[in-house]
Amino acid sequence: MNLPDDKSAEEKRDLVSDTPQEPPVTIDMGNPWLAAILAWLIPGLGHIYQRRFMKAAIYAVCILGTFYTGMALGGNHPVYFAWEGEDLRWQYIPQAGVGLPALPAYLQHRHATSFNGYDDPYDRGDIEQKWGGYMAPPRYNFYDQSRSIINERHAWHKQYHMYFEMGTLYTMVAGLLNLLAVFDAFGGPAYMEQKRSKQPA
Amino acid sequence: MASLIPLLTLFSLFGQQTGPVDSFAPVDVMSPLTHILLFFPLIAAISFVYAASRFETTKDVISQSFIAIRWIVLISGFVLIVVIFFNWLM
Repeated sequence: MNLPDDKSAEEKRDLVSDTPQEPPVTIDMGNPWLAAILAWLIPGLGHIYQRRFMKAAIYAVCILGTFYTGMALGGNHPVYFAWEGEDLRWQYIPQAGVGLPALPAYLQHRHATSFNGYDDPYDRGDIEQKWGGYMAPPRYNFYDQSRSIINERHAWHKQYHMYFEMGTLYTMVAGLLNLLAVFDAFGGPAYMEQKRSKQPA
Repeated sequence: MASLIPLLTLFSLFGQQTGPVDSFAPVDVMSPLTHILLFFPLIAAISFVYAASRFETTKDVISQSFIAIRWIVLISGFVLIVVIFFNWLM
């Protein structure tokens, strides 16, 4: 097996095939940093840039499918960003791994905290939300249609209960899985890299 | 790192609760069967992406993902049986 001496990321790389009988797989990695950024922004985009269309399809379908299934399970509420009061939404950190699809949550949080005098999340009851409240943080002291004060986060949990939890889990897993896609776009398949490092020089 | 993510997600399948305690709905909102059925597409997605990140050819990705699905289902099933057994014991 002839392995490339120059490991420059810009050139085509011959990686060892998974089975010895098969010819080596050639992957055009392109610029790995650009591929990794594209792969993070939209799952599968970095692999389209590298012309690895089948993997792009697998990543896009599995990751985006998991993410939007999770969103649907929780009524489009599982992905939101908040970091004040009792609601420290740490789940957004892995959810942000999915890239642009999770970005509206951050923009909605910036919108909610951009009003003067609304530093306290409990005073945000009358804020008008953008995009129909898509991925918006929950409003506290919010007047619902019957003019009773509710906490939106509690209302979501009451309405969806375990579906909200499952939706949160789905979207978190989607973000974590996209990290695997980013690593793959940057450095190639992990197993083949391991086998290549074991080959004699 | 690549091996750690599926393991972490596997552990996160059990007993996650992010909601405020005072807003619990009745427990029959989601049946245990629905709960288990909802895990299967998640397990399949984890397995396919995990296999895709480790192998390049489509044939290898598909064959390895089915092996991964089998292992995840086996381990999850074992953990579920242990949990059910201890619930029954108490």
